[in-house]
Amino acid sequence: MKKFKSNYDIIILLAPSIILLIITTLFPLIYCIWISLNSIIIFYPVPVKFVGFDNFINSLLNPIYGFWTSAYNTLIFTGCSLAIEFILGLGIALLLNKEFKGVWFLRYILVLPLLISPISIGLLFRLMFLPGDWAFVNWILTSLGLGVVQWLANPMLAMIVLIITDVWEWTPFMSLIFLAALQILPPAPFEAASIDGASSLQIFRYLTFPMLKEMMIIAFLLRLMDSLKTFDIIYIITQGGPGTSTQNLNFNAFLQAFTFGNISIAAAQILMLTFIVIFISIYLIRMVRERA
Amino acid sequence: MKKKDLVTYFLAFLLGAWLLLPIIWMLLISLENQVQIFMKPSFEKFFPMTLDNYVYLFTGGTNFAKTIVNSCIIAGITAILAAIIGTMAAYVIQRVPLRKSIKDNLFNWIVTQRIMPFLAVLIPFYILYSRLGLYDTYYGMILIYLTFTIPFTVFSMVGYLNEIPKEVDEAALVDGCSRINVLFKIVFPLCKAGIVVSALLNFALCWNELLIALILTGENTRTASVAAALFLPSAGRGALWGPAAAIGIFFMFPVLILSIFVRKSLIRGLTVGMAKG
Repeated sequence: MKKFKSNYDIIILLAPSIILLIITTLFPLIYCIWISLNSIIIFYPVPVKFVGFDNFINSLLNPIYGFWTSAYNTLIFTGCSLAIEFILGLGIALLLNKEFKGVWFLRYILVLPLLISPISIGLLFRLMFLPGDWAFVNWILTSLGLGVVQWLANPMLAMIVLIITDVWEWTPFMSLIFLAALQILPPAPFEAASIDGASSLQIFRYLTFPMLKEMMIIAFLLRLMDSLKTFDIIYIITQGGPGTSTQNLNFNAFLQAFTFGNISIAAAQILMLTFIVIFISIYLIRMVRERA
Repeated sequence: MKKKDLVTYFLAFLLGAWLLLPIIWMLLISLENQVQIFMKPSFEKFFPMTLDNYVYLFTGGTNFAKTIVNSCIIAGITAILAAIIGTMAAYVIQRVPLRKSIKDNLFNWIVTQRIMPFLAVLIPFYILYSRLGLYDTYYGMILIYLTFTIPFTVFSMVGYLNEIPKEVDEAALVDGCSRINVLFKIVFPLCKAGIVVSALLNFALCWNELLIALILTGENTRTASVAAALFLPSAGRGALWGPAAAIGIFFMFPVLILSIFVRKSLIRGLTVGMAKG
């Protein structure tokens, strides 16, 4: 009798979350699949027509829907920013793990980029990289005797600006994860190693690095999931431009859906992105589990 | 030894400059008038300072004040609801001896929410909302914001509950208290701090959200984040960099103030809580 009653309680406690999650994710996801299998165009009263996998095939084959361009952009953006964040993050963590005067201040301000809203961050870097010699970066360049650069008008430079922004925003996240991991490492092996006369490079290579490995994969995974669907800073800084050169898959699907009205194409594209993300995540999570 | 110290301080200085310069630059721009913005850095560029840009935000005919109220309503209600509902679920996941497969599936499901690109939910919601008349309403926005705030709360509260000794509520259970009573009378007061922190973080998540707000809000419920994007240069109009900088600075404040209270827990929530997944 007692057990029955407590089961009831469990259901009552879980029910709101589960119902909400069904309404807000499971159901929309199924609906999204349905949309992707039909031809729906918003803004125009075109009758809904079942087209099977046409939207998926069209997205992949017709360059007008920009799937491959944006996939390429996503790859460049995510690859570059993650690599830089990873290395810089580790470096900063190692630096801030030392004790020196004023380190508390750096540890404190390191959190800033995580707390500032992505919209503000977008504006920050938009302002830094404005054309004209009065904007910060161009002012530095002209003071050094170099010319003014039109950062956001050049496809490659616009991508670099986005990567710099992302690095600014997310390197601290990596650092904080690494720093937290560094600070709970057992001190004994390190003392032993330094007594035995190991150089700091050797200590890093044979002690710190292997001990941090699992944390590194987790940090990498978390960043990867978010990085693949970056939206805010692209919207604020480049709006995907110039041309289509800084649209990632997420942004492209957004434009397809809500600017061009090809909501079915967008649904197909975003489902493909979802599968990619889930596939990679499962693979990486397995890797962590096997190690642990 | 001395040389090594110098290198450390040099790197520390670089790090500090890298982190603070963009913010200081935006703060300075937000305090300039329309002429000063287009000057090269010099004494005249920065002085005298003016608050014109901030005044413009509220008087420039963009209804910015209303969007702030909207943001507060939506983010506030979402944060509180998510904190309560999420804690309930976290309690069951953390404490009740369910079968392991059920527990794992539940947790995995919640984690998947984080993985999924939000557009996959947003596209169907857009069509649904326009049919159901939920487009541009507070209810609609709160409902869709619960999608990502609940998983976040469950995540951080599972970690938090982990640190409260099981014995406390087990004693009450043995005494014949029901699970619900234990949760509301004993666990809730015990993890008050944790709940407040996750509510604040949820508030920050909603306050910062742009993509959903861009699509699902109209004149009535436009949030401050959408309003911020409106100051960007568009086809018909030149740049309003002064107000844009002011809005950027203004937008940081609520979250920065929150951070003073929750900095430690935030770091833990971001790192340790997630490492458990």
